[in-house]
Amino acid sequence: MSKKKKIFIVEDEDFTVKFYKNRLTSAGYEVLITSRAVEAMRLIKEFRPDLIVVDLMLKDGNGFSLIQDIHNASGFKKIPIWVLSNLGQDKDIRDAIKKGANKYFVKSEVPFQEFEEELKKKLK
Amino acid sequence: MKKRFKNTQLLLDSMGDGILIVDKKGMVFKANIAFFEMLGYNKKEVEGKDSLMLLGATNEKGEPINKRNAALFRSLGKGKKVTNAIRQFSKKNGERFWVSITTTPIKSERGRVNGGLIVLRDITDTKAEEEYHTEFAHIASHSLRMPLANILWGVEHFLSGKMGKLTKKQKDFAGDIYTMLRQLNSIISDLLSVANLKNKKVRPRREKVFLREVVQSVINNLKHYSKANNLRINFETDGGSDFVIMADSRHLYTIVQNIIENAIRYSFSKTVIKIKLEKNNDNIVFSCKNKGIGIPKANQRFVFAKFFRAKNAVEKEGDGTGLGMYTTHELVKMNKGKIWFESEENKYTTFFVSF
Repeated sequence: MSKKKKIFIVEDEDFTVKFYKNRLTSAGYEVLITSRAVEAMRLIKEFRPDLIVVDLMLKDGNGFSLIQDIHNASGFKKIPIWVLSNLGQDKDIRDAIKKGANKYFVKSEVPFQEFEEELKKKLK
Repeated sequence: MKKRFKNTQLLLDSMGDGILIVDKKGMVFKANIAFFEMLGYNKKEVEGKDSLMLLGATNEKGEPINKRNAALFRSLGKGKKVTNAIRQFSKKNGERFWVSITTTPIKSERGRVNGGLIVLRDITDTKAEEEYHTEFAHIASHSLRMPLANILWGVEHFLSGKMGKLTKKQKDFAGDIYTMLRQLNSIISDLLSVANLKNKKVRPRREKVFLREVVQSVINNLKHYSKANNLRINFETDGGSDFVIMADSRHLYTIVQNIIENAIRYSFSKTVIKIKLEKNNDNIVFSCKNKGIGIPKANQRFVFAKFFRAKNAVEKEGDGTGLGMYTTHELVKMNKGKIWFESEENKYTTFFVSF
């Protein structure tokens, strides 16, 4: 069996965390989730994920600057950063992409199934 | 004397703010060029008219302005100046805009109030800026969508069968719930679009839309609602046309839904709501007629104002944001359509939308 693909998630909303854990683990991924933006950089270094999913409205910091930090850090440049957020305005999407996100999903617009299929395509 | 007056007019016309001079009953005596430009009227249409009727004013809460709460009548009655009252006025073409007004009593040498002077400053841009800074849409986007997105995912999870196989009945119901949640999500998105409209952040996604399908789908989705209110919906169209237009399909859905939903809410029980789609020259006209409480004449000017609800509507249905017709009006405008209505209190209301 090939090695499990690793997904690192920064998300602080309980239901979404539960959901990610449940669905992505049973889909065969190794998942690490943190609710704290401040420890994200350290955890990425240790966990070495294949893909990062970031929420934008985080209680302890904003997701936009976190994306920029990850994007600018040496060694992380090749890890795709995806945003899955409830913010749906054009401006938010543009800003996140400008800061270094590769893909943007508005949570209420995307069935989870679709998100999972995108992940599968990217990480195969 | 004549010369003096000519000079006064010249002075008024050289000012950038709109100016209105009224007698003590509030009838318009004079106005300046800036006022005409601001509201789109000409001199004849303004002079001698009741200023309150002409301006169709509402305050910041969307409440209509009448003799009792008008800044002007405070000035006329108490002989005092009222500065910077925030109002929304109607232009001749029905468009509403924000103004800051200052009213000053005009007194005779003996100190008797003969009339008043109203200075109007267009603050539409300032208001838009203010709204942007409070970032309503930003916050609302997150707080409204967060629980909704979670419920959507949750129901989707059930439907996927990943938590155990569902019976046919369970699947059918969960499917209905899912559809309704999606609609709720669209409505929220549209409301947020409207909130963003003034900041020009949102544009309609124009595409080919089959209006007949949209109307039929709204009617289907409101089936249970109309039944619960003892109403029948009758949908008539010309021949086999699909009524194709270029517009944003989600906006159209919301427009049609808001109008029919209102018809259901304000109809008399056991009546029929008549919905029509027809071609009129080059236009496609959607109409919805109901028999019900109607819109009182005095309230008709305010139907498309933000947060406005007619008194008889509040009496019949306590709940309501007063945003429905405002949103509908904005969406129709955005999609280059026209909306209007005919109504008689306690008889009927017909809303028309043409594209």
